[in-house]
Amino acid sequence: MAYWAVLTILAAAFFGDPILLGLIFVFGILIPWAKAIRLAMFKQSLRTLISLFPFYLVLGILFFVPPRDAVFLFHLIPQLKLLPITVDMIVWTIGIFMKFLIIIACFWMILVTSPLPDIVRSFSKFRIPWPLVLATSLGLSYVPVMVEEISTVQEAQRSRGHRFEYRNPINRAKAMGPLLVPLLSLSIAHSERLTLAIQARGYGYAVEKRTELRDLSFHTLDYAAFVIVFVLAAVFLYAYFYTPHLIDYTFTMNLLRRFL
Amino acid sequence: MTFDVEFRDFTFGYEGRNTPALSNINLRIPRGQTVAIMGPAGAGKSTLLRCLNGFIPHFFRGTRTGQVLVNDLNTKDYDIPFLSHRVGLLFDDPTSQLLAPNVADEIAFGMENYGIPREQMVEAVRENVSAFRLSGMEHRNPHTLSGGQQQACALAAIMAMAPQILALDEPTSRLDPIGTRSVYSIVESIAEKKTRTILLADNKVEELVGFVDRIVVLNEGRVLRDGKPRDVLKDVDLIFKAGIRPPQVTELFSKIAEKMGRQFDDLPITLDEARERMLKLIERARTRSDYAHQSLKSYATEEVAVEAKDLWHVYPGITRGFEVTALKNINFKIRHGEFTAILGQNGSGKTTLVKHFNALLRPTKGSIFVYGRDTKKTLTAELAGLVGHVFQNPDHQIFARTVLKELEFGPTNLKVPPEEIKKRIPDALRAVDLPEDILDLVPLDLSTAQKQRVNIASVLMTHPRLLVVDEPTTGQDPQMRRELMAMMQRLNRDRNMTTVVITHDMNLAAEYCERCIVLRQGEILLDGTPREVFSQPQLLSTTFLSPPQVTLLSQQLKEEGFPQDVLSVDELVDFVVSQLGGR
Repeated sequence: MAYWAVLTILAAAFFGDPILLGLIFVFGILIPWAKAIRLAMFKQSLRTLISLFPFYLVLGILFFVPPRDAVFLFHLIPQLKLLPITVDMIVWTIGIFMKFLIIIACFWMILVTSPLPDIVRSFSKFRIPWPLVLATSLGLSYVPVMVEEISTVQEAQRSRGHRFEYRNPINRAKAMGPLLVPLLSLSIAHSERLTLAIQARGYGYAVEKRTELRDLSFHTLDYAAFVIVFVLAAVFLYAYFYTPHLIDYTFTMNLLRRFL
Repeated sequence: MTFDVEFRDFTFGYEGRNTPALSNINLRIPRGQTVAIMGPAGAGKSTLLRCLNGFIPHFFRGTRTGQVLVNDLNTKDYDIPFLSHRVGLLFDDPTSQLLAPNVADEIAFGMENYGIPREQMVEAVRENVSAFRLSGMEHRNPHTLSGGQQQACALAAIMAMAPQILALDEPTSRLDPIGTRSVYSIVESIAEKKTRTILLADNKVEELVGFVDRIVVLNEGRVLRDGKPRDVLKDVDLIFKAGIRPPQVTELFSKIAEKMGRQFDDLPITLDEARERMLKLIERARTRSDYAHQSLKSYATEEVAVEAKDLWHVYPGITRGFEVTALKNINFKIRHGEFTAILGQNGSGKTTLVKHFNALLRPTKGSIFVYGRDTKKTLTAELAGLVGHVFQNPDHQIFARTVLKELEFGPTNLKVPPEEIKKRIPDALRAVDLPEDILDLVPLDLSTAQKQRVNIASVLMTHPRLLVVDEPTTGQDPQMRRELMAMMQRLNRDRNMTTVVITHDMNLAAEYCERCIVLRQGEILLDGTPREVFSQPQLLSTTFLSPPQVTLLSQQLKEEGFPQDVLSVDELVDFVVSQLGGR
């Protein structure tokens, strides 16, 4: 499943056309993951992400250079004939924005559904030293624990009348004090106890002679997936440099031109 | 005879501390024996266990004289990983010893470190998963299991390494009654086989006495008593002086003997023994049951402090189908000045309920009113002046550089003027029995007990009318638990504070609280005085709670005319003595 997500990310990275990307979104994300994800929560996160669109619009206004035959709409600053707004720009911006959406969504899916520690453990196959792999793995499994601790500490300090929500970012930072200290001491205490726990389970006995319960070596399927991803990446790269008009926003533009 | 564990004149002091943690310990434990190590906090129980797998002296530095031998190996000559192969150590906090992404990996972790071949590991994982009743959960993240299951998983992980000796450091202190029972039944089944040597540091004597072969009482680093359970527990005075408690039935008979001026050869240590013994004493009770009904004085007023109306709370889940209905149809009124205990297994909704009192959580359906204010329309921070919520772990709240600043935090947030804040400090300190010179100390440096008190004091500084305390007794030794309950009783009485305590300790709830609300799977199972609640053992047992041992004993003697609503040892003593014609 993780490979599918990687594929989707790749596709999103190279394609620039809104309609195409829309298709990618539907087929790459919505359909495969529809069962697993609760719609309401998904919609909420989507809404947050979509609220970032104006930012992209600004980027588009500032940096997009419209081609000669762009469909012109109006100037933002009419007196000086500066900052032209073109349909092209809007389409382009939407394209970029959807890329961003898809990539973020993919990452989120991976995190929510795949066992991340498994992925980390497989790093040991890449000849990373075992203590590092264990440390990363333990660190990652601490994240959900820490998230819960954060929420508990927040509740505890709220109960004493402390407020965390401030508009002013400076005040907001100051308000974090009662959150950070307990978190720090809790994390340190946790790592101290973990140190004891792994030692009590024989950590450090004979690192070279370690065995593994599960076979995390790569199988045919994994190699096949690697190959497919690699090939597709090459294809996309080619298209990007040599036939850009196939994969950028012009597809939608041409469609729109018919109507305008 | 060779011994699996030997302490020869062993003394150990942690680096940087003046008094030794263990002094002149002499212990010889043969193979197959199950030993309970009892004692108050700080007596040296954990220290003793840490000597077995090499944590002392290799990880915890300090000064040491004498020897500790494990399987005839001197622990100072072998490193921790080597010794851990022979001694499995289980900690009290399940969450900090679970380190793998799923149960199967957790169980295999130790074996992996020791280079056990894969086929053996797969087999061992399968065996242990079924032996510890974790079937079907191999792929679950251990942190999603219940407390009892987590300890079972950690214990399975240790047993998979096939240690000869098991050292269990207060394994049930953080668990609810179900979790405690399940962990002990596992330990009991291991103990029965008599193939391994087990050292169990724990004070829950009523549960232990059924399967331990020997009890060692520690206090201040020394062995006070060491012998068979019956012999050790007979000396009730010594047990109390050591800061721990014998089984209630043992205490009962000891006090009966004292009041009657008699001497019993032997005191019962289990419920069954006590019942047999009691029948021999009193074949049939005279109809008039005269015993002083020690009723607690209630300080409740007419004013309603908390009112729940058709309260529901549903936690939404991340993925579909994972919503949890934590509270269903809750209705009650708590009056101002009442001292209430909220009882129930973990997951029954106790903490969820109590978080509604200061709007940390808002009802999904229905409403809850605190001193007349609808919590749906109030912010938590606004309620901080009315409701003081003491969290279970003081480390979640303590953050300031000095105790003084910690105490000032709450009222400062509520914009209380500084002169007023200064006035409140000596009072708050006195309420929790802390000296004034603690104000300059760094809170993070204090002991857990002191931190807890600082925590309570800082909550008191906002002069709340309602005090909510979440599991203050969990993880504490018997003495501390009593002191805490007594402290809360004082607060309730002297400061006219409505007090709500979440606890697992039935005995203390029975003795100190005027009202008990028992939750089961999100619903109120029972709500009434302790007498009303504990005289319903069948209902209680549907959520695996049981009344105090002495109450159970009396209830089992219903046919013989014993009262059904005894709450404490002293009450039953009075009853029995009056039946026997004493005074």
